[in-house]
Amino acid sequence: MSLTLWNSRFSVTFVRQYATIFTSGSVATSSLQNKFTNSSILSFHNNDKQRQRTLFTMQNNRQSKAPTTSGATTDTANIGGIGAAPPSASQHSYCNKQTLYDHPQVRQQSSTGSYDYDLVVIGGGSAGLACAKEAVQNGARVACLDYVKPTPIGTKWGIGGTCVNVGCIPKKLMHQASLLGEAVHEAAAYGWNVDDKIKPDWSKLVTSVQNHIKSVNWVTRVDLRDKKVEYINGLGSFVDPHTMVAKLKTNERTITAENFVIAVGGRPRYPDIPGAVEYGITSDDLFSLDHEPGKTLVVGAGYIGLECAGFLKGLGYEPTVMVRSIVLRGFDQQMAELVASSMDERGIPFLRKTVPLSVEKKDDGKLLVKYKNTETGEEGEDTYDTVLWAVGRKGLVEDLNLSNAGVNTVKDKIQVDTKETTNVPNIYAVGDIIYGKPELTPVAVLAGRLLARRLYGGSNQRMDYSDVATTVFTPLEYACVGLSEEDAVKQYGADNVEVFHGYYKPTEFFIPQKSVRYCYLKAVAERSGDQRVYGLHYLGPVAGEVIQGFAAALKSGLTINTLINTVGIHPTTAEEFTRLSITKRSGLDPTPASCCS
Amino acid sequence: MVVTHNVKGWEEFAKKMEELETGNNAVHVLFSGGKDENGESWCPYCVKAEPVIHDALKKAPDHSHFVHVDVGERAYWKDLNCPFRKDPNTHLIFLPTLLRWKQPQRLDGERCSNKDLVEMMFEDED
Repeated sequence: MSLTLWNSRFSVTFVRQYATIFTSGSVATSSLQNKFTNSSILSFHNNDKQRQRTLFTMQNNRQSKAPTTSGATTDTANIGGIGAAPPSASQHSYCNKQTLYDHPQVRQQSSTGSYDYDLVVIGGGSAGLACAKEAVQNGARVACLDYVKPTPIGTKWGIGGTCVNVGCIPKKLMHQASLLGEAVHEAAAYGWNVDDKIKPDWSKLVTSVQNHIKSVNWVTRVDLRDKKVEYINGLGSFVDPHTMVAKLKTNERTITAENFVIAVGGRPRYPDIPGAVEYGITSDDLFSLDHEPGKTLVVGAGYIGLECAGFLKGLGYEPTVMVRSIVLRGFDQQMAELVASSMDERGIPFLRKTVPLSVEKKDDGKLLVKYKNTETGEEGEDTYDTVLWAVGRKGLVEDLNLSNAGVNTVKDKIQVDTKETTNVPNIYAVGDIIYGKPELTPVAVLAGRLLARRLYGGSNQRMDYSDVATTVFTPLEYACVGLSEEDAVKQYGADNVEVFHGYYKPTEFFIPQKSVRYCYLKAVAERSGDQRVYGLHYLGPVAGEVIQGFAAALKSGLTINTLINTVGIHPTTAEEFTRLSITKRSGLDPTPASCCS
Repeated sequence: MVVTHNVKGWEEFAKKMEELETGNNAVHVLFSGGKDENGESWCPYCVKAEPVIHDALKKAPDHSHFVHVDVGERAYWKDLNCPFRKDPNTHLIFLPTLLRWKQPQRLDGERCSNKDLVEMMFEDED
C-alpha cells in the first residue's frame, strides 16, 4: 500500500485506515510507527477498540439470549428509518435506494483476539474472493479456503471458482472461437480471399483457453498475497459456529473465526440413470477436454446446455440438444423459443419432451444413449462421441457439516435474509450457494463486497438482487434485464402490460446474407401512465454489450417515452430499442420494411 | 542449488532459452534494463528489484535455473517493435518482469521488489 495514498485518506477514515495498517503485517506496521510516533493516536485507538469490543460483546450476548428468528425479520420494517441513507440520485419509486438501507449498526470491528481470524471465507470463487478482499481492506483478519474436488473423470482446477475456471470465462472464449469461425466465412463476402477449408484445432483452442485460465489463477493468488488474505487450499467443514476443520493436502487444520461466510458455490448435477457418471461429462470437463468432443448429445436446455451446443456447432461438431420440458427455464419463453429456433436453423436438432434412460459404452468407444419421449412413451436410441449433462447445478452444502454449526439448508442451498445472514447470526452466505437468487458472477461479487463492507466498513447498504441483466451466449445471443413478459403479466395483469416489439435487420448481416429471421427485440412496459419499462429483451449480435447500458436505464426508472425519445446511434442494433413503436396488442406486423425506414 | 545465467540482448537470450527448454527443471527469467559502465541500470524499479530477487532465490527449487536478462538500453526497450515486447513467449510490457518460462507465473514492475510475492513465485508448485 502506498503510504502517500494512505496519508491523504488518513483524516477522513482514521480508525478504519489505522486498523488496516495495524493488521496488515509487519512491513506496514513498522512504517506506521516511523511515521506516527505520537502515542496519543495509539491510545485513542486502543480506547476506541475497547469500546467497540464492549459494545460488540453486548450485542453478542443479546444475540445468544434471543436465538435467531431466521428469515427477513428486520428487512422491510426499517424502510425509510433513520437518515442513514445517502441522498438518492433518483427518487423514482422504482429505484428507491432508501429500501437498501436501514438503521446504522454497531460496527463489529476487527480483532476480538480469541479467534484466529475475524473472518473465514469458505470458497475462493467470485463471491468469496470479493468478500475476503473487501474485508481485509476494511481492517479484518481474513482467511479464504478454496478446494476443488475433481470431477468423476478427474478434471480439477485452481482458485477462482466456477466463473473463471469452468464457467463464464472459458465459455465466452469458446463462444468467441465459434463466432470467429463464422466471421471467417463471412469475410469472403466482404472481399477477403479466404481459404474455405478452414477448420478448428480443438487441442490448440483448449490449450489457449487453459493457459488464460492458469494465468488468471496465478494473478488471483498474487492478488490475495498482496492484499494479505491468507489463502488456504483446504476443504472446510464446521465443528461449531465458530470453528472449522480444513482438510489440507497432507493434514488437517482447525481454524476459529468470529464470522464465517459460506461461498462454496455449486457444481453440475448428473442424472440418476445407468452410465451417467461413468460415461458422461459436464461443463466442468468440457473446456479442458483432451480430445475433440465430436458428435455430442447435450442433455438439458438451460443456458449452459444451449451455450455449449452453440459453440460446439460453431466449431464444427454435431451437437443435439435433449429437452425434458422447456427451453431456458426462468427466461421469457417467447425469447427462449426464438433462441431455440435460431439454433435449429443453424442445424442443431432438438429432441423435445425427451429424457435419457441409459448410457452404454460400445466396443468402438462410442456411447449408446437410450431415451424416451415423455409424451408418447416412444423409446429411441443413438450413438454419440460425447454425452454432456447440462441438467442443472447443485449447491455444495454436503461437505460443510452445516448441522454442527446449526445452519439450516433448503434443498442443497442456504436461505439468507436481506443481509446475507443465515439462521446463525455469525454465519453468512453469498454467491451461488444462496437460495432463490440469480446465480451470476457479478451478483456474487457485489453481494460479497457489500457484505464485507457491512461487517467491517460500517456500511448499511444491502444487495439489490432485482433487475439484474444477463446474457445467454448462444450463436445468436440473447440478453435481457427486468421482467419477462409472463412475469409482468403475472404481476400486473395482462390488461396493464404493453409489449413493444420488432424484428430488425443488422446492417452487417446483408452482405454475407446472414439470416435475420430471429433478430428480434421487445420492451415489456406498463400500459398506461408513465409506461414504465418492466423488462427489455434482445436477440441478436453482441447482446450483452447492447443490454448492459439499458440495464442502468431500467434501474433508473426508464419509461417508454424516454426510450423512444432517445436518439439512436446509426447503424447499430442497439438503436432498435429507440425505434420500438409496434405493440403486440395492435396486431400490426413487427417485421421491418427496410433498414432505414 | 539454483543455476544462475546472465545474458545480454535478444540473441543471447533466445539461444539460452532454447538450450534450457529441453530440461525438466523450472526456469525463472528476470528481464531488466541494461546497466551503464558504473553498473547502474537506467530502470529504477529494476535496481530496486534486483537485491530482493537475488535474496529470494534461496527459495527457488534445487536445480532450477535463473536467467537474468539484460534487455538493453532504454531507447532500444522503448521501441514498440523491440523483440522482447513482440515475442509471444515474453510479451513484455514492463521492466522489470520476473516470470517462469512458458508458465503462468509472472510479476512485473513494483511487484518484483515485493519479497513476499517474489518468494511466492519461486516456491509456487502449480
